[in-house]
Amino acid sequence: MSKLSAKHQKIVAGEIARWQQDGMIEEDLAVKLTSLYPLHSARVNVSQALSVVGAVLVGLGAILFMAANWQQIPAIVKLLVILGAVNLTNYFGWKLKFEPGNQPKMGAALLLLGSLFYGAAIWLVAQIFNLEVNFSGGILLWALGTLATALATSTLPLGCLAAILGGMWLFANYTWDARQFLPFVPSLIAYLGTALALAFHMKSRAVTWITLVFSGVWMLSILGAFNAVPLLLFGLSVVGAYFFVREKQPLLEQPFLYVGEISTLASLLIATVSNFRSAEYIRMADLGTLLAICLTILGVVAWRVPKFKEEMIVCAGLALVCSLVLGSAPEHSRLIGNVALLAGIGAFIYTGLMRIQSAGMVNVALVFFVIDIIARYFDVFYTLMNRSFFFVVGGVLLMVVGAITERGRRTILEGMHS
Amino acid sequence: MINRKTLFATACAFQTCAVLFLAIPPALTLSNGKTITVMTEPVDPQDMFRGDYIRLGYGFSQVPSKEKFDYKSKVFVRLKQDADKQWKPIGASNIKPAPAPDEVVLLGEYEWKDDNDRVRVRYGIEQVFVPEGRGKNISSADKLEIELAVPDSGRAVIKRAQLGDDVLYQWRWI
Repeated sequence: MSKLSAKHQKIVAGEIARWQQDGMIEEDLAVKLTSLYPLHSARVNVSQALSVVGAVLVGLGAILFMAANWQQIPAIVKLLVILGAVNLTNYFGWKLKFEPGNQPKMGAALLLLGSLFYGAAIWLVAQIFNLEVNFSGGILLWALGTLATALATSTLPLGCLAAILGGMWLFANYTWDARQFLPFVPSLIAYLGTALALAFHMKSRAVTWITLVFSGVWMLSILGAFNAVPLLLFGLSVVGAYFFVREKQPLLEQPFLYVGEISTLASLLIATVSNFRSAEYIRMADLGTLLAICLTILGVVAWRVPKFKEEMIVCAGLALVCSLVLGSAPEHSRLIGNVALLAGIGAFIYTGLMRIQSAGMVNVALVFFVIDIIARYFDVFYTLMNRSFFFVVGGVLLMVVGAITERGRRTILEGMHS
Repeated sequence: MINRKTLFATACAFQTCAVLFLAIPPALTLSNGKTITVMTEPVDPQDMFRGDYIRLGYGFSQVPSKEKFDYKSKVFVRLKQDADKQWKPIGASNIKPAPAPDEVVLLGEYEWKDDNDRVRVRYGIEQVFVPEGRGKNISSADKLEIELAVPDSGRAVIKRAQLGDDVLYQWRWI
């Protein structure tokens, strides 16, 4: 039987399980079919890794060569050389990857190199004509060109590069102008929409991870200027999306679960350890728009995947309460933050354990529970106790809580598996 | 259904066109724009992708104006040469004015306004890229002579940068 990659094996196994669940095939047939495609052990593909690293090094060298700004070389020559390099590399990359009897891995590396040369060409033009230093348009053009070749070739390194460049554009495009983040939300939506569409098209977990992590860190950076509510709304939206992806494309569920849950609980944890900036730092129009987007996502998921309606209602409730209270009444933020964090942790543990049997969801929630206990200990006792005593007691408390939590976690997971 | 090969050829064509789309407008400005020479005060940072550059400040980056502008909106600035042959700003507006024969109009982006009704404008010509290591020899006390090409649209491009007799940057296709 033909060999499948680990990723494709997982897709096939998921499909077979679904056929069995839908009553299309019997259990015996499902077992037989699954055995035809045994799971590959995880292994590092050395030749592909070396090709990709080589391509990245050559690409970086080309960019640095351009950055050296050799004025002895006329502009037209520089431009023709780099455009020739872009197109020749793409051409040979295509031939090696897709024409029969060639080397697809080397082809993929050359295609990656082609997109790096394309980036070098953009920066070369910017250098020749002294274009703006904060050149977010250049990064966007680079990302779009790479996205086009990634879509056409479904090559993983190109997909990852496109997602990384899109994330860089997100940061370059943001001007750190305090009190105004709403004008930049469309950039985030455009990035998330495009990069996640690419990830789904390529069925790539790596591209999904890159996209969600860049978006989460971007929201976190906004948090510095405003308060934690934007990150919370982002986290709850991603958690909502997780329940949708879990049903429709299980291969990509992990990044949604971890980025969504960590963003949600981290934002609530931040609300408990420091006072929110005063309400004047967040405009109600901005907050309302973000809340509307979050509620729309949760509503769509509840509509499309009705069996998770309860989870969506809880997420929507958390989003509403935290936005209204934390956004407009900062004097109550610590109290509400503490209650919301404990409620969130409890909800994740319950859902992970009783509703979807997700060990990952339970583990993350328990980690935040431990962090919360440590944070509360610092809050209450740091100024009350002698420093040495404070650290000794803190260390002992940490070890005890860690041990109890680990024992509880194992019990929970064993119960879940049985 | 478009096949993969056509899609890839389109992607490659997009990449080439994107680079040309960036290069052609400033190249046309440099060939056809009106040339003016102005003085600047430089500093010397470095850019990861494009190497050494000198940041430039112009006397006409702050323009007196009573008009209201939105953040990042377009600003048209009229410059006129004074008796010392220096180009000085004489006004800023939202709409493009018709310049007198001895004036030029620069197009910039509004940044902020100070208490004295002086508008801070960014023209996109606030940096010049120089060969590796050259920027470090220039201090903020040095004044550079900058030759700008100004098209009818007002979006200026740097044509030449010079410190005394030392030409730091000179545009040339060939």
